[in-house]
Amino acid sequence: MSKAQNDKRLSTERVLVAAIRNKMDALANAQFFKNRSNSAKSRNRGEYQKLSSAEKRLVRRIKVQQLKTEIHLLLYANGFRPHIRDPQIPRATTEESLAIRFDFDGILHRPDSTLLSAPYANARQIYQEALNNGDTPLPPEYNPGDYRLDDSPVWRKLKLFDNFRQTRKKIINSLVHNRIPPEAVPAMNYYDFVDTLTDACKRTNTRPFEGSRSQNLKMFAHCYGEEFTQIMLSLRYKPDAVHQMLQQMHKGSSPNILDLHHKTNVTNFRELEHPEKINAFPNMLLTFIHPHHRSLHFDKGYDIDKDIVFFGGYDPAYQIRRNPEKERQYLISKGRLPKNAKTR
Amino acid sequence: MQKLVKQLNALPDANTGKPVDAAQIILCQKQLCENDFAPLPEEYAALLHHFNAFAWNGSFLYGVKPFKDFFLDLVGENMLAFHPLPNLNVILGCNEYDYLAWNCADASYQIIDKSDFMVLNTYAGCADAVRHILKIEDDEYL
Repeated sequence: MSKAQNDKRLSTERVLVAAIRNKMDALANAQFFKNRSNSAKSRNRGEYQKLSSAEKRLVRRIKVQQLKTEIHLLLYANGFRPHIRDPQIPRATTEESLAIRFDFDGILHRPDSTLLSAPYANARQIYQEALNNGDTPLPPEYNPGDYRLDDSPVWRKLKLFDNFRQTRKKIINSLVHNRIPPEAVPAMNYYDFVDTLTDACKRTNTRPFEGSRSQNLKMFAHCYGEEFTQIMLSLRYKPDAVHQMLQQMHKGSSPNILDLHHKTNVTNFRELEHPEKINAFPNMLLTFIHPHHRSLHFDKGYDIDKDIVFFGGYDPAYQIRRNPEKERQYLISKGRLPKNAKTR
Repeated sequence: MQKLVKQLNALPDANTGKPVDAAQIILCQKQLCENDFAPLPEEYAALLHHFNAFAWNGSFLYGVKPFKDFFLDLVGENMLAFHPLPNLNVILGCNEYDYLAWNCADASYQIIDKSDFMVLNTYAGCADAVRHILKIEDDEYL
């Protein structure tokens, strides 16, 4: 694209971004209840000031609806369509939502003890009390081979995620360490697995795994860094700032103006052909927070082309489309795909 | 709270807003109240005295009319969230998919899903809830 062409397209893009952004800001302000004051400005409001509180609320509600419609029209005019959820497909449960987030972030949040299953919680308590009280004999030791995690319906779902599958040995070792009887495994819930994994990681001072978020950012920086740089420079970001953004992404963290977006929402993960791939790179999109990411989540949410990997603007000139071959080569180089894996 | 402040100060590449004073917090409380939102909890107000808004690695703590563009405003963000029970909740922060909210009915901090407002986690204390939304562990960055 020549400089003149870019200038023209950038000008149009900026007008559109400003329009959406201003509408969203206006939406926030339209609901704002302004208290009566005796200032000259409010005295000049005339008609509005004469309304009762209930009438003012109605006016604000109408204004809000009007602005929401205008935002919908702007997005629709630029090719975006609201996501239509299939009511036959159940949403993620609380435990599934938490598991997906854990897989994405790789951050341990030890669950409250009230959330643990009774067999697991009792066994833990017995062991802790025996440790604290030297007179009480310790519960029997078990061997790692005694545990069949696949007897747990929860584990059968968790192991579908690559990250969780890696933690199998850690979990078993932790169960052995805490002398949890193998017969407690079938009744273990999600919180039990997180609790035992937290123990394992705290004891060994290690992380459970690198979260998908970090992995995806690194993959984006590696595979699409050059195109990203070109687009950001076209958007008039300073080279130093763009370089710093890329450096952050190479380390697995995101710059403050950018967000990772799930193209299929986490809550609707069952809509995917392979729901366990909800946090996989093909479902990820890097974008600006305001207004781009907000517009994708506006109201009930909007769909976006599944092949876009960077949504830098509503104009396709500021978007990057996926290059599955590049991604495949990257995954092979990281040992996350066998060399003969096919392009997806 | 001191431990949390220490952790937040240690986060690499974090952006922090300048602390607010009591008058600004009172104004914010007034605006929240006038617009039928729950008031700010004391612990979070205390955090605002250290940082008025916080942004790090895709996670945000809201501030009182923060200065920079990428910071998020408490009142504005609560307006845009369209929480089904705004008079019982005030949203204090967010990440890609969750809000950090204070539920004044339960007197607890909650992590709630942005799309359907399902409560995923509940915390009694502000520090643990803030660590959750910022995705940092209890003993990290000390």
